[in-house]
Amino acid sequence: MTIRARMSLAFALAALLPLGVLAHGVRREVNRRVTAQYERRVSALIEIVRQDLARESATIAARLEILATDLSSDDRFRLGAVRGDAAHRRYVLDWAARAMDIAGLSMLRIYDDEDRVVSSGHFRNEFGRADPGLPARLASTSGSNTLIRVKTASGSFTALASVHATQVGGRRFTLVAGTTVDESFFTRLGRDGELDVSLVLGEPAAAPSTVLETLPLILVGDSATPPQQTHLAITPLGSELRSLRGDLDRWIAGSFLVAALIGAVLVMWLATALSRPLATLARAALSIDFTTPDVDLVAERDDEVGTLARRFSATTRRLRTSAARLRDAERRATVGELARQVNHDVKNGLVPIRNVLRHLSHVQQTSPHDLATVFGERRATLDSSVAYLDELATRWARLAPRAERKPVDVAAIARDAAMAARDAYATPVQLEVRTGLPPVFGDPIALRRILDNLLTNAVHSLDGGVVTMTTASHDDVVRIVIADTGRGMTPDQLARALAGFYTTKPHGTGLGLSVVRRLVSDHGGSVHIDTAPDRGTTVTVELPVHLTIPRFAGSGRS
Amino acid sequence: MRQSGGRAQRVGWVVLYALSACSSGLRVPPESPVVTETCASTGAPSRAADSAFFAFTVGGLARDVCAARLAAALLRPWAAGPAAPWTVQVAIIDSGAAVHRLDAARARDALDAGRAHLVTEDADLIAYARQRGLVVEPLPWDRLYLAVVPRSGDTLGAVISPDAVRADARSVVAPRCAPDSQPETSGTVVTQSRRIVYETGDVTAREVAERLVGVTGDTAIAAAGLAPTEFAAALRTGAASAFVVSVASSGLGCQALTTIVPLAPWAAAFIPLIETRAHLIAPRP
Repeated sequence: MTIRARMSLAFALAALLPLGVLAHGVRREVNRRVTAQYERRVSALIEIVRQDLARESATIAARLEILATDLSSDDRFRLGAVRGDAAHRRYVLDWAARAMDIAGLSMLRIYDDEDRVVSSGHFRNEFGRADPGLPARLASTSGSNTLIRVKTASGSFTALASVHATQVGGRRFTLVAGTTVDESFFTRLGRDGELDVSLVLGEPAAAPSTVLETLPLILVGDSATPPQQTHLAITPLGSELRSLRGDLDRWIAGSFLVAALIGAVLVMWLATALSRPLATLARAALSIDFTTPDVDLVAERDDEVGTLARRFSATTRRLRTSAARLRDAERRATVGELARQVNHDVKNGLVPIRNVLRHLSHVQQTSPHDLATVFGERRATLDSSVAYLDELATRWARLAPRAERKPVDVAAIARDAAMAARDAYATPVQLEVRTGLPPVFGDPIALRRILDNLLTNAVHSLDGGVVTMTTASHDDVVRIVIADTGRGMTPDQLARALAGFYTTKPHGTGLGLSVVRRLVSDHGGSVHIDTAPDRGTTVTVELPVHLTIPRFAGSGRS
Repeated sequence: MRQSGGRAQRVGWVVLYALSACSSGLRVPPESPVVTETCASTGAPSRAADSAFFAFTVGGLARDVCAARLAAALLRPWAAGPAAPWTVQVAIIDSGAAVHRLDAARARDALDAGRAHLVTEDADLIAYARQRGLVVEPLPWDRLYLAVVPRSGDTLGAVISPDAVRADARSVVAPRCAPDSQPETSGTVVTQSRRIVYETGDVTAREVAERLVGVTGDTAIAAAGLAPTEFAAALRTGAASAFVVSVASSGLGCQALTTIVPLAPWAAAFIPLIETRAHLIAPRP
């Protein structure tokens, strides 16, 4: 299982699962409380509907009473309806329409004592039509909410009705008035969508189970049929509750999705942050061998991965050092072979000398007066052989290893080397020695050779500049820095110089830097060269201090 | 007038009625114009949105009265317009009469100004004019409302009452005129809806139709108004229980009724219901 899969699984278990449980719990609890509150609200609304219905009936009755009072004192109506005055006939016919409009009613009829329509507001031309017993049937339902089917010229409608009787001129007139019971009436009763109010004929027992409450009504028809029981069925629509639940579910789902999304992004980021450097380390590990140990990892992180990278880099550096030592050992083996060859060459070089000496000895014994002549003749041979041997001795003597180790005062050796360089090359060598340098456990001759080689290289690279040698100690190492302002080297020249047998000097051996590198390595130290063409060269040599030896008393600047 | 008991192929009796000009002996109302009077338009009237014009000739009759009669006879149903009952102002000019349609408020304003000649069916406006002492002269009964029914046995006309309409109306004693030729009966009678239809805009026709609905015992029947084109189409096919049709009664004889029969070839009876008339309101002399 990959790191990404493990982290995803861990996130799901540690974050999403508890979040899901929390969301479920919150949703259930909120739903329970909201539902309870909604049910209380619905109960209150149903009571309001009941009161509204009663108030509507009472309002109709009140208006009807006012109209009846007005009717009883209307002289023109009295003349037309009671006295039969034809001049007021049309006034009587139109009286109900005017009164209905003024009173804000939907229907108004005036019946005479024979139950004939005298005036009708909602349907003017139904005058004279008989509705036998209708006023009496309506009056019998007094105290109840009564509905009546009302015929018009273009159809019919249902009205919440009330009835009121009055006396005009000794005749009895019955006023029937009402307001339309239609969808808008039900919508108004249902508080604009919170409740569904509908008219249902028959007993409430037949109502569906979703009906929360029924309000009894009596329906009176125009015909002679007896009043019919009916009721208003009130059903909570629950749209607000559903909306609230929907909003809650959407918020919970949205929060869960956002958390999951953020978690997935974090998992991806963390997994990538972990797996990418590990993959880099893995690739680097695959690429390392003794021929290519130079693998460096830039580890800027402060966490465990950074530590791992740094340790990996340290390991590669050690491996690089070991490889360098191995290459150096190989090189020394090669040099030894060359030394044997030189030994052979020296012996070969001694042969002509020996022969010349034998010849001269023979001449001295056999014809001494010719000795000078012969010596002159053979002197060139001697000189060339001696020069040849001197050259070989000069070259290879520098490679001879020394193995005498003891605590060494680096400052003293540095002073001696600087003084010798000034004498040998008449070149200014500035020396800055830090006081209190700790001793270095090593070979003083080798250390002197190190400094001689570096100073010689620095002096030879000068074109009128200056060489500076500085000593210092830091973190249990003694640091010697030799800097010049000479020609410097290219990276390729530096690499070849470190490899040995490369020189830019007419009589150089090309072994200086390689000897320095080997001798420093023999002392457990390190060499760092910072150089560039025309910018001079700075060589830093760090040698481990000998901790068991007390530090030397300091010397000053010279 | 003579009785005829003949039957057409499908329809029964066709009861035809003509107004005072019918020479067959129809009862002549006292307000009918005398024979010696001459009052006729000399061309088709021109109508605009709220105004109209017609030229006329007159003899033996006051020009304003003639103009009022012609306005009532020639300009309906335009005169009614959207308002009911209708009122127009008639202005006599050299060659004819300019007519302007007025609503109730502007009509009363014109009366209050004191120089307007108005022709109206508004009973309240007439009463107002009488209270103001203006000259109110009834015009001839010039509009007849018929019930066109598919069965000859319908007795709708027996129960109609002039009180059913707000215009000045009277009941009509229906003569029975035998057409000289059989009415066209080849039209197909479509399934009749349970409606009594009238032409939208004719307020009196609507009131007549509603009265017919009000007195019928059938609770399923209803009155319905149709636009003029729809009304004509429905009348042609008989797609209703009954139609309330208005015709000009002045100058229409039994012979002329034959021009109405083709409009409802399916009809079995044309039952006259009421006649209406307008009034001229003129300034005090």
